[in-house]
Amino acid sequence: MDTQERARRVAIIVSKGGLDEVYPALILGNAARMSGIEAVLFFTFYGLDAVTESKVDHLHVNLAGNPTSPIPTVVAGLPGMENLAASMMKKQMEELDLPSVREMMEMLHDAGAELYGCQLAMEMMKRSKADLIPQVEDVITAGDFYELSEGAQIIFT
Amino acid sequence: MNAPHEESLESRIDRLTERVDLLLERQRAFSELVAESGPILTAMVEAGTARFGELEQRGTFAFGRSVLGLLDKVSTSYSPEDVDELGDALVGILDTVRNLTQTDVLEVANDAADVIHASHTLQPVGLMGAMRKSREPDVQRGIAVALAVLESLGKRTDATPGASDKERRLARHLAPSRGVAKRLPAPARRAPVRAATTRAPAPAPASAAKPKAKLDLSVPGYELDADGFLVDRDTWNREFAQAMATQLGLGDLTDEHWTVIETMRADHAENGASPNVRRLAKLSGLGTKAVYQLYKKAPGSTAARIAGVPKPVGCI
Repeated sequence: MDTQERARRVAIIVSKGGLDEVYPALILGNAARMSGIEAVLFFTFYGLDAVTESKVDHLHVNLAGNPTSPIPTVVAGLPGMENLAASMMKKQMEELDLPSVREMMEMLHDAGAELYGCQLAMEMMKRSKADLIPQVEDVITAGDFYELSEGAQIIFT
Repeated sequence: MNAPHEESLESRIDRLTERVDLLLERQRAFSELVAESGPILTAMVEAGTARFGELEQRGTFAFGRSVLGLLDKVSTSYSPEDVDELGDALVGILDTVRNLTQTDVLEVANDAADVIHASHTLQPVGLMGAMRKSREPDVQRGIAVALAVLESLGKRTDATPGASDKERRLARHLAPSRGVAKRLPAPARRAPVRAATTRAPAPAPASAAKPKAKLDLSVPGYELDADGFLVDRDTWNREFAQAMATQLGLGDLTDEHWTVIETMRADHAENGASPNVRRLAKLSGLGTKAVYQLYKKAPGSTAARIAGVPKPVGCI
């Protein structure tokens, strides 16, 4: 692998906090590390929930307004449907032996991917670094993100 | 004795009077009916006659006569052989004609014709007017019928050459952009790999021919595939592992390296598939971090190369 002089890099922006919206970003990040690609993950807005200690184990799936959802929007909007959908999806993931979001975060961190929180979103949601999971390296601004992602391919999710 | 006789006579007269009254009443009602219905019947006959006159004036009968003339022409221009050939088709045509001449169908056609004749009394309708009108049950039923007719029409016309020709033209129109998008990456990447598998003994020039010169691996005495993985896992031994590790820049293999290699080979032997990084980290008990530190970049593929098993598949 030393034959490659400049390592390939990806920077993934996670701006949404649904279970189904977070997984693709985490899997992409992890796959990048497995393929020897450097990875930076930047969590902003609702994506911040995925790295917030109190929320990371309780991410939901929103089926309302989703044209591919198996149930009609009218039903999907009822109270508790998000919870139900999330628990069903989690069950399915367990059957496939997919790691939980928290485990994905640990894997990413151990694999050498860098996780960052967005400062502005943190201020908006009144969260501090202490509210985030320990795998988050730092809380940074959008400008910092551009510095960190220099030479990287940026993926927005 | 007298009294009952008188009584019965009285009652009989009473009953007779009642009956006469009833008869008179009936008679009156009937004469009224005749008096009332007379003018209506007359009007009906008059209207009917006027209608026929009108039809004649409009040339309906002339049309009928010309149709007869047309039939005459048809019979002169088609030979009996042609009619024979018509055969079954004629039955179908007759069926259609029979269906069309059912009273309900004719009534609908007649009503439609009436509406067309009275069209000068109708107000022009805009989109909003049409929508308002569509709330009426009659109109809704009409729309349903019209849609059903259109549907059957569409089903029939689907197979006509005109429609498929349009599709073909559309496909040709769309084809180039799709074709280019598909064509660009596929042959450029796949061709060298295929070439390499056909002449497996010399992988070095094949990998050099790849667009992205990845790895130039070769361990003397061992057969590797195009991606640098050992072809036959049973030819693997510790010398091969160390030689491959040196080539990959890992240096001397430590005990921890060997733990990972042995875990990988054991799991592959057991399950027939190479474990991914997550599984490797769990089974070896070393954890993700250690596996990444030991095998640097792309630990799954690197460890698989050294362990002489195929590349791990999967996203996790």
